[in-house]
Amino acid sequence: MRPPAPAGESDPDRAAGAAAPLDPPGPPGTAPRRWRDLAILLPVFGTLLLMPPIVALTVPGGMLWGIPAIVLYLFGVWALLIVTAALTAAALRSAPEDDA
Amino acid sequence: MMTEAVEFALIAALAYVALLFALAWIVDRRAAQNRMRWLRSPIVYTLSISVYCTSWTFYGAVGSAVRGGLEFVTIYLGPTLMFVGWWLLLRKLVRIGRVYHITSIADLISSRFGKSEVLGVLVTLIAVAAATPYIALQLKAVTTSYQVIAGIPLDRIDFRAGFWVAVGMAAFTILFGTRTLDANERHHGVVAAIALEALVKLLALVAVGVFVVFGLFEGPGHLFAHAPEGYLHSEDVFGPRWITLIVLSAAAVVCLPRQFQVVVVENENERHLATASWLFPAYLFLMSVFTLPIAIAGMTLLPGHGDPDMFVLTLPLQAEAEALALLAFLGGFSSATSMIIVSSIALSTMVSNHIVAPLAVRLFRHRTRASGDVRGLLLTSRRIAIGTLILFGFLYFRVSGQSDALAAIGLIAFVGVAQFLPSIIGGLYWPQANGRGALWGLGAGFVVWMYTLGLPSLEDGGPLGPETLLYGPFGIGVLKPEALLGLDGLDPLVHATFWSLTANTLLFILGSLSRAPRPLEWLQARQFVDVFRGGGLGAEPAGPRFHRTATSEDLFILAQRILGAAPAHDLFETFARRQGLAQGLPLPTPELIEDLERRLAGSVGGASARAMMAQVAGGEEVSIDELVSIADETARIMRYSQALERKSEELETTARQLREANARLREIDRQKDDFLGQVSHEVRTPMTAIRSFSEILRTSDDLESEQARRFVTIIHDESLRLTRLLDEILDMRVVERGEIPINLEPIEPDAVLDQAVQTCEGLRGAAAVRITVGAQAGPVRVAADPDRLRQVFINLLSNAVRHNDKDPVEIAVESRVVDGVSYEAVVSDNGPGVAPPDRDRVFSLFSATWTRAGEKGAGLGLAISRGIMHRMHGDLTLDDSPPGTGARFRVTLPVTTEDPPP
Repeated sequence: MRPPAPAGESDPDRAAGAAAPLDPPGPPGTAPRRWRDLAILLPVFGTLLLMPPIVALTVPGGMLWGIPAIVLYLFGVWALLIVTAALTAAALRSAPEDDA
Repeated sequence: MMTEAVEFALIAALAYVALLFALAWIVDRRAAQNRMRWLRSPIVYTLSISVYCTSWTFYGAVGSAVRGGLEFVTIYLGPTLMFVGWWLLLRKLVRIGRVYHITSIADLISSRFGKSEVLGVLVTLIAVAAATPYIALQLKAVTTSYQVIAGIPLDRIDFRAGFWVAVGMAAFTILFGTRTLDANERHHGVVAAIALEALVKLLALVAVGVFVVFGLFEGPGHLFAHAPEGYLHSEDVFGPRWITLIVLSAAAVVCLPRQFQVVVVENENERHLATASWLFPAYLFLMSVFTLPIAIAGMTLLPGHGDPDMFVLTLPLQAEAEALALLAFLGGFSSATSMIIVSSIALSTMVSNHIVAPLAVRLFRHRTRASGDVRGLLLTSRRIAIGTLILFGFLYFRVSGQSDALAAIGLIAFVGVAQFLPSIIGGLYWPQANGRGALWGLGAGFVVWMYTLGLPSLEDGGPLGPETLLYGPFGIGVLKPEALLGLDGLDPLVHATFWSLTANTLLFILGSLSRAPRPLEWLQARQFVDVFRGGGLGAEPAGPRFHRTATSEDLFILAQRILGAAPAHDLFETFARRQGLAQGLPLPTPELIEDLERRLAGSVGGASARAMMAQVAGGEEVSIDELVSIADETARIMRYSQALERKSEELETTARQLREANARLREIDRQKDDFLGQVSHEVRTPMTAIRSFSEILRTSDDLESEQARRFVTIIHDESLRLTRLLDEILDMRVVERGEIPINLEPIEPDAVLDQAVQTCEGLRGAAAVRITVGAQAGPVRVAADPDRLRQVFINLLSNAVRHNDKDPVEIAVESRVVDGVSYEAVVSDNGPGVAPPDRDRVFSLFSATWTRAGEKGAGLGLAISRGIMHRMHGDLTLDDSPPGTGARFRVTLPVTTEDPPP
């Protein structure tokens, strides 16, 4: 979502935004649906990436900046999960509650 | 030998404990004045969830990394996946916990499966069995770390440190953790202390990690270069044990009583969970990111220097960074104490609500009831339970402290509490799951867990002796605890997890399918499974209610006994205000009884609240069919969709009728226009003649009288025609409005028919007309107006003559009685007949056939005739006949048995 444009007649965005919102909210409930689906799928992706056989793929890999690839892989996936979860949580928290 | 370091560590620990007490005390006081809003932030919520990180993870993770490489990470990855996937399970758990005032994991399972007391007891027993050794493990960690930092050799355990920690934590928990009976009311002092401890342990571990990576080594690359040959390069670690550990730790972060306490019971706002969904994994990330470096540094710098579990402490000591070592010690101390505090609160709630309260309900049924007596009893029992649990933990430590058995206890506890998982997931998503399934599943899981994991963890196989471990009980090899059913070669943990969870899940499903749910089970299942469909928070949970009756006084007394006098008074005042009563007790409606029970459940647990309510208000007597009929979601949706369908059918019918009516109106409108056009034309023609002839008469003086007479005759004839025309229009209007006077009397219709035929024989014009009278109905009577009936017959006969192009005109008249109830006369001719599209129109008032008839002055006749017949309860219809075969008009009248007037 775009932040609300600051007041001021000269702001071109403001005029355009008034005529047609650049990021129109969908019908109620559809905007956060993509995020909700992501929230449901995130642990599935995480499990897939952290379980054998995928997790063992980087074991024979060499070093990167002197750190074994498997260590970077594990902590990298972990960090990715955290960041995605943070984005998802922020999107879902601003969304209206409740679903079926 | 007391050294300076000993005293300093002791002083630091004591000061730290004093700080915790002071913080808890101040926060409790200020929270009472509602001045501690920051305690209700999602960050504090997340920090309190971090009681997951006990001293077992604080110290033990490094040891695990030394022994198993990356395996230590699984203990954090499981919770990460569970929290990242909060939308699936945790969100529903938290919602249920808040809506139904769940007090513990035992309460959750017992409430879901019909508020079963047996399940509450079973879950409590499993939880206590899993947690007591776990508490012992914390005491051991504190003792060991104290001995390490104080420089006391580890070959003899000094139990004093463990004892005093136990005493201190028991005192703290009793003091700050049993302020209120309601489990959903947070203990702010405890929460503040836990949050502080969470920060201390994170800070300590990160500080040690940074010190190791950048102080002892020159960055991560340098450090990993010192890792032992082949370390981290084995794929073996990603085997069944890896999967098992992730599953177990994911289950544990929900099912451990202390985790359930902080995540579900003490949740104040569902949105906090959204923050924790990433913040808690981030906390775990930070807690574990330095584990590998510390392990590698320990292996490199401290070869053969004792316990790898203590590297967090020994590395700074070795490097003579005493302040850092002290911080690490306090971090470990924090993880141990916060676990003990929260665990004992959660367990004591379970013991008091699911063991003491049911007993009290039974034992003190006939005692006098004093205000607050239940509350006092339960709070006392919680305090005693806290003391007892911690004491048990200490005794367990005392007994088995010398052995290595304790080290494995963390994972053994994980397997134990994972037994709750099938019941929780089944209970939250499978409406058919019932109490028997949960009992069978939990019982089987508990037994298999004890047998395959608990027993081997005891020294020499515990009471069964070492032979059992080696050869199976009584030498039955199939039943060997660590190779059940011959499943050999697996890691004991994987083996135990597999068998216990398999047996648990299987029996849970079989038990649930083996009998129909009881009404209360069914109701609870609906409310739990459909918690998101029952409306948002704050709204009354939707669904059916049991109809119980109680007096307001009894309810008030019950509330007073459990909540205490003042809170009960406040609560009932709120109830009364909600019911719109200015004063006095509220009305004991079913809604109020249910609401009260839910509130009491927040203090004593669902099962006990129900039992106590049953003593006052009686049990729930309702059949499952009744419940199903009023609340079944499917039935409700079906009913709704049927109603919708009906409505839409109605609408469709109405729309069709409207369309038809509209078409009719348009047709009538068109006919009216035609009619007006025709009328004007018909009126205009004689008027023109009259005007022109009168003009001639007026202007010509030399008219012969013979000619003048002829002109006047024409004027006269035209005026007559005009009059007749207007008369007919008038007549038609009258018939249309039903204003023709009609006198019904019993007459013989055939007589009228004969008269009409005779009359018409005089009317015949130029063409030859032959009227044949066929079969007659004979002496039968109808109720009719003879004059009007004759008019109808004459109209039909004259139409037959006029609208005929044949020579001679042949008309057939016959009559008969149909079924003895109606008289029927048929007039048919040999004319052109009526074309099918015109069949209806010939009877309408503005018929186009009028055009042709207008000249002869009888176009409206059929409409008028039909109107007359309707007024006489009869009908005039036109038979379907092939084109060119002439028209057949049929007159029907009901037969009457009345006698003619004398």
